[in-house]
Amino acid sequence: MMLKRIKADRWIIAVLLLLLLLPLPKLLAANGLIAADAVNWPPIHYLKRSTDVFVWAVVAVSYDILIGFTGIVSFGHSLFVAVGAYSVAIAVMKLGLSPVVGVLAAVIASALISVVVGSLSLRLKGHYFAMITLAFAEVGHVLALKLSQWTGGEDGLSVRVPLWLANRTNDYYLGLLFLAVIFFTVRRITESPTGRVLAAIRENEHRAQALGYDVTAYKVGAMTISGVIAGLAGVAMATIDTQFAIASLATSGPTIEVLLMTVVGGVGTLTGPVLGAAMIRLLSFALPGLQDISPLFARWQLFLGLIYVGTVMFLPDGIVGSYRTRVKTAFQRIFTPG
Amino acid sequence: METPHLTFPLLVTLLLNGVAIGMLYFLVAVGLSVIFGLMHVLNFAHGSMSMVGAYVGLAVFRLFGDPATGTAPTWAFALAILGGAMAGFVLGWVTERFLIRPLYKRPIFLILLTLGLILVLDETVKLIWGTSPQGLVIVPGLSGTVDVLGQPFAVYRIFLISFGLLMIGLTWYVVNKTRIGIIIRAGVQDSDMVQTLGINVRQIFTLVFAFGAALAAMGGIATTPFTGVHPAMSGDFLLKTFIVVVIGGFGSTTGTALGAICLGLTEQFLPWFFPRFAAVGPVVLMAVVLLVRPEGLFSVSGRRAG
Amino acid sequence: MTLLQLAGVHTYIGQFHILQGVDMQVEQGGVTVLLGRNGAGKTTTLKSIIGLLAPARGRVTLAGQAINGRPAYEVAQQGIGYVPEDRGVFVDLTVAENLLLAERRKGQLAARKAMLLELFPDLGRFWHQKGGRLSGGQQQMLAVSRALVPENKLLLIDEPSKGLAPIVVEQLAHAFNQLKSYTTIVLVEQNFWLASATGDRYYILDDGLTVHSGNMPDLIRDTELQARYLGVAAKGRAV
Ligand SMILES: Nc1ncnc2c1ncn2[C@@H]1O[C@H](COP(=O)(O)OP(=O)(O)O)[C@@H](O)[C@H]1O
Ligand SMILES: [Mg+2]
Repeated sequence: MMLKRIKADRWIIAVLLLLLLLPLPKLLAANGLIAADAVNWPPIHYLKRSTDVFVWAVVAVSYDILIGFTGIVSFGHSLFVAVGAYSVAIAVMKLGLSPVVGVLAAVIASALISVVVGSLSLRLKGHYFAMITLAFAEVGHVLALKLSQWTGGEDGLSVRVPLWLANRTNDYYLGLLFLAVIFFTVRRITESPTGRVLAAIRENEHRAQALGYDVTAYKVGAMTISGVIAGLAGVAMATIDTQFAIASLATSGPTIEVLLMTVVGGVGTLTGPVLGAAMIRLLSFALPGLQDISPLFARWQLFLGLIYVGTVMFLPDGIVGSYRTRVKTAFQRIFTPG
Repeated sequence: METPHLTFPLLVTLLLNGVAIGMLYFLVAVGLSVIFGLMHVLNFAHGSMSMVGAYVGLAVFRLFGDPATGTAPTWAFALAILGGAMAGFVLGWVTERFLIRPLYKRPIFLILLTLGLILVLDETVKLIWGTSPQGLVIVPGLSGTVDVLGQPFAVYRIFLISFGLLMIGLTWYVVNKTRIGIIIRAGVQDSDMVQTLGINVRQIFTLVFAFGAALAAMGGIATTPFTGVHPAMSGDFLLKTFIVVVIGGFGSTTGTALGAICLGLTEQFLPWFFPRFAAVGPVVLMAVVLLVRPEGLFSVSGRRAG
Repeated sequence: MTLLQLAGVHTYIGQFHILQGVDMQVEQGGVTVLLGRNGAGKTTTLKSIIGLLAPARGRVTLAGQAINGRPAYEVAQQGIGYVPEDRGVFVDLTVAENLLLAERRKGQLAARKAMLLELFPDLGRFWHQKGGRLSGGQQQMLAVSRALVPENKLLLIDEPSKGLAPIVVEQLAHAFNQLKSYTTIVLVEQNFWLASATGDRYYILDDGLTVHSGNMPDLIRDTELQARYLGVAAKGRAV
């Protein structure tokens, strides 16, 4: 059983090992185990960008709980990222508390807000639900702008982190650990009996209701889990990634980007959103650098849009989803008798 | 903070301003409302289409203007509106025919598609026209102010009110008095049934999408004398459209007109009475209507068109 | 002459295999009644003919021409009128607008109005009322009239008597008998009285299959067959 699992996960394990090993020299140097100036590989920006990918991958995984495993399309998801980021930023910068208290505050705040938003809005269906989540996120955005004595208004809040967090190598490993823990936890959840109820809701809400499940309660639950994880990602953003909390996090822009990651990677696959996050974040780092080749690349988001539209039209299962179906059909072709 | 005294003439000015802005919102929103009612597509790129119309309109305007002063003859503004509307029409047509149509059976992907279109359209606009705001000088015939109860009132706003009323009248006529209108109203209720009467509803879908985008584009260009054109327009328009349509009820043109005027007035009066809530007021209003009366404030029975 | 033929029609709704080989042959003229208990697949059969559902296998032909797999509006234009189970009256449209919508050429309604009013005199009184304000019986008359506006070769009528008062059912029976000389009707009906008062031939569906067919008088005599396939409805409720 265990072996089978490891075999099925061999790709994930290989990538994890690779990511673990790459900056090992840096880790040793950062903690004084070898001479620091002897190590200048991998470069700092590799660590920075990888950390950023890890954090966004967590957001994408949390979004997949909604869209992929429960069938809910929310347009206000990044509100929870903002809530997490502001919680820790306000705790540290405005109240002078420890970041650990900030993390607790973030969990409580994002859980409360997702329960409230969820139980209010999940009574609505489809498009109406999408719109009300958009409205809630917009309210959050405006509040973040207006309550400037707490949030820094337009400027946002920069977070001064403890010294050991200001180290990019440590951030990298923390980010990787964070992603790994969340990834496997969420996978556990989706494979649990609860996860199967959520899948039943996604496939046919009425039938799930008829079978006696409290559909709304399950949906609110899914939204809360997803919201808390997104909140934690916000904490990570404000501590190990950008070290910043900004109001625009709550707008539809970041939510659309996360949606893009999830869709391109493959809705409902978990590995897909991680892959999607890596692709989209790395593209958004790389494409602007190509401006020397053509001024077209100044508008690199245009390419993201085209990828997005192309995926929706021609590869609706995303990269991972399509890969899986192709492998499966190939297997079936080979092993079907007759 | 001290609020200036709200005198009667000021009240009238605010009222007229609210109606004028409401007309703009009607133009931008009516297409989205009818498109949703008829084909159940929530077009998130609607605001972007409106913005594209504004930029194309501005380009047309500049074609005939004096580059030094930025002014142009009155008819250049008429051409700008027409040019913007045509751009919107083509954009809407192509979008429905080639992107939306293959996805009718997969509603979630329809939403995703129109979201992707936001990126494509907004970035294309930035690529062509840059990111800095650009203005449009009001043409001679529409500039200046007139006296309303001793208060100056912009001629352009009078133009907006008349133009808006004209367009409301036109859409009302088309929806209520023509065969296309009967098909639209019937289709809002049950487009399968319309098909079984021998009517190719898909063609009507394309047409409605194209006209909806054209009206939104007109709204976009008509806004520019106030706000100029800038890339953030698309998001602004989208949110305002949602607010209007939620208040007015999906699929109803009359509801959209009422919802639009409602939003225009709210935006004018809220800062006077509750300045602290001016920024969130409309969005909160939308959320409340969605929660309490998702079929809209002005609908009599469920979904209706007309 | 054979007007409508279904040969081995299989239709899926989503994952569900609903029609599993329906065969039917409808001659021109008269009323063919489609019987079968609830959930037998009668509505699905009509939808597969009009094109609201696309058969996965099999052939549907109208006057020798294949119509399966074509969009509903094209099938309708071949000369088929459809009266759905829920009547499909547009509640926000007036009676006149509901009828106008069915025109395939301008002026068809004007040419037909006298005939419709003779068939259903009630309609005249409600001409400018919204469809939503009509009673169930009036809505049914409107739905049938709407199918009569263009010159249709074939009418598909799905359970017109459902939920209606006996007096209205009688009126419908009268109307259908009058229409026999003018068009061909496929009538889905659970009300055995209406079926026997109007039907010339019958088909019985069960579990997505045609299990029986013949002339209506034979079925009326065969109480055993009625009991087997038509259940409660076969008790032959007198009106
Ligand atoms: N949308 C649907 N999804 C799943 N099953 C359906 C759907 N519509 C109808 N069915 C099933 O198809 C079968 C035939 O339905 P129908 O044609 O409406 O029967 P009838 O008109 O003879 O009462 C029934 O068993 C019904 O449950
Ligand atoms: Mg039926």
